[in-house]
Amino acid sequence: MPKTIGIDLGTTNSCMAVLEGGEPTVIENAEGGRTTPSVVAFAASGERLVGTVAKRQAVTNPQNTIFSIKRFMGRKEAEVREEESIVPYKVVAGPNGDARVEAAGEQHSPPEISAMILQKLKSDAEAYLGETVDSAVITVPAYFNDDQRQATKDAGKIAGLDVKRIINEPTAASLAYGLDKEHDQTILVFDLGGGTFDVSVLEIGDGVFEVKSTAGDNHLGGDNFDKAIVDWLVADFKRDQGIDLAADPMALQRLYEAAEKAKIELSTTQETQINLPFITADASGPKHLDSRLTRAKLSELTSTLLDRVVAPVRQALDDAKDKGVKDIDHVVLVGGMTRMPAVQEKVKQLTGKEPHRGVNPDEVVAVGAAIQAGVLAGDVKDVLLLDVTPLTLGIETKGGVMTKLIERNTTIPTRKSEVFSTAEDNQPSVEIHVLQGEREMATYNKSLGKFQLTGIPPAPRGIPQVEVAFDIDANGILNVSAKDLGTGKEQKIEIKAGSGLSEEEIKRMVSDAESHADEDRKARELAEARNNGENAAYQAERQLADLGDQVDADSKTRIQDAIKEVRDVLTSEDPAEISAKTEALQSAFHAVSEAMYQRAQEQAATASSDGGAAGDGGGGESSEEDVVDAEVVDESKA
Amino acid sequence: MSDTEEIVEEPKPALADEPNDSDLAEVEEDLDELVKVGAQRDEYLALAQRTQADFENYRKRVARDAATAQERGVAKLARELLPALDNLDRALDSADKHDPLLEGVRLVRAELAAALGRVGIESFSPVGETFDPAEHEAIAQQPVEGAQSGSVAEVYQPGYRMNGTIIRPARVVVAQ
Repeated sequence: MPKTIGIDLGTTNSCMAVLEGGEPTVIENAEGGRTTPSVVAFAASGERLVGTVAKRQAVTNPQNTIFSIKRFMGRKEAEVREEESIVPYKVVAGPNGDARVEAAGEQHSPPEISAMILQKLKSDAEAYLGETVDSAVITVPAYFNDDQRQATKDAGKIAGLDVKRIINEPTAASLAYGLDKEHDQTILVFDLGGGTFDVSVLEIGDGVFEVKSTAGDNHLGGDNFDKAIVDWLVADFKRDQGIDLAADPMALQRLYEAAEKAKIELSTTQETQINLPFITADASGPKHLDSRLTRAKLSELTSTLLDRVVAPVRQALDDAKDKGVKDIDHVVLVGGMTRMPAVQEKVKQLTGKEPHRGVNPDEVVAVGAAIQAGVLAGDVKDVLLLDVTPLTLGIETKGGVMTKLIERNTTIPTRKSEVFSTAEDNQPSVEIHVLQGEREMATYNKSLGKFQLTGIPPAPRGIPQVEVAFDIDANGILNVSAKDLGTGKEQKIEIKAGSGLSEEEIKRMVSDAESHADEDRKARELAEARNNGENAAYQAERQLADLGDQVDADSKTRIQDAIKEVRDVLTSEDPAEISAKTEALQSAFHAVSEAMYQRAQEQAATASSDGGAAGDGGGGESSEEDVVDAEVVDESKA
Repeated sequence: MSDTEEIVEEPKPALADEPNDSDLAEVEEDLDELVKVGAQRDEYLALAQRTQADFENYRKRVARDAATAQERGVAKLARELLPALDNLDRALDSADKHDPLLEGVRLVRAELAAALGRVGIESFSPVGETFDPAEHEAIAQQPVEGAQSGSVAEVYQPGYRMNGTIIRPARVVVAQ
């Protein structure tokens, strides 16, 4: 079935996403990148290059490398003279006065260039998804007029995409945060990208977004911030070493890379080291650049840039106020630069609101577009909204431990089964105690119900196989069944949805588990150590009885002593102590087994069948299953 | 179940030969219900198919991603380490050629390159080759004597590829 994808067709970079199973996923391009440079180049060979590859050859082919085409979309040539003077490629007026790009001896309309970018995105998306992509939702800035929107739509059409809808970038960003479900709220979207800054105020009512105001700065973005850092590094180096790094293209390239890295690092740390060894050399030898940049210094270096966001935000707020908007309820951040703490601080200062977080600001617009695409394609339907189990479900096993069958946050409907066994010899029944909660020990969790599976034929412990299955249907009704795989006997219980837990109770149970994680882990370790010890003692005893005379009296006494020591220590509160004794018993048994095998080898003809049994017993716990039912102290059989 | 229905239904026509209005309305209601349920069934079937298809494709992709995940992890670490290797090269280039330390450091460098080679990462330095933006990144373009226009005149930083795919393009000067 052909897919509809969401595309953020950006000035510097583009990004695409798709809704899968109700969840938005960013689609990687053929080069493995999550965003694609919005660059198209016409190589001398006649080849057309798009994305990273086009960017890499830009300096060799500046007149035929087209970037920032978005600035010319749907514009008359006479309106964009200023932009024309900035770009190295040629912009001319088309037959109706529209701006056209002249490259490789031909005129191209901006929609044609954009279509080349969209075509690459489309084919990369198809390769990634393994499916045809035939339609898209494409985003545009809120301030785009009808001509600019139409031009964007045309670009989609040329690229072979059915443009299901053109939506505003701030609307898409709000969708990504699920704000369409709010009523009568106002949202300020702050979008500081690679090269442009936009701020928009939206009003949402009954799922419809209305743009109340927009403002911005067409030439402010992350690139300016990088340049501010590079300028500082260059000036410092010139002062200290008397060498102008700006004159060396390779040094400059390394400086830009280091500046971007430092900028990103300072989003999470207070200071960073910029190391560029062998950045240049003079007669006296190699020169190194080694600078420390603090977050405070970065704020100082970029303060004039930071100040440039103030006026547009104020203007957008004022314009919105004129249209009856009182307060801003939500703030959404878009664009990589909004990761910078100083930028976030500025936004908070200006709006008085804590911004929404969680969605990658480079991808948030594409994600929102994908959600819109999903809605239009009919992917998002109420019937598809599957629930999850709020808490873990499981049963009580030996030692009061809760054994988890269905983890919390598992999407339902779901089914899970596991095979358990008995805890003592000739145990005629098992009790299935169904539990809900995150704690390790059964007693701290909520009991949902219990039932017995009876009629298990006499057998040594650990031999019967009881399959316990948990099945939750789409309505949240839990069916627990226990089946003796030997006899086919089955018992079940049905537990109604919800079990009356409120949102708060669920939260409390989860946080309880977190705060008690340590002691719970210890309790579980103790219970497990006891189970293991008890089991090892039981197994050893059995093996000893089975082997009879094959074990000499001395060894027998040694093992019996070791068994006694394990049993004596079972009441200890220290799992390490119990484990130590358990291991001592096991190694004592290993020694006996080894000696026995040696003897068996010597008398190769005899004792072969019994040797095999001893080998099984040596592991002690190798055949052990999780064990159902309460702990039962074994009678000594020796 | 159907047996009891028949017993209940059968006497009905006997009571009234002509269907009356309320019967008609009931039949119409049933028909409406049938059409509705039929449409719903189609909708659910389409939904189930779509979901199934989504899942199949998702599973295939996850399998594919898992296969490449390790390689990506290796490439990511390598990309972080390559600048240090570049700097080691710069250090070697600017060292005093008679310094006995130089030979030792050169061996360390060779050891690093060999380690990368064992995980499938190799460097390339395309001097003299035709500039290819799929593998090279142009830092500058200059007229270079004796070099053919459009060829790589100088390599500032070697490129690296891993099992055929570029993990870092070579940074080059292109002859004008």
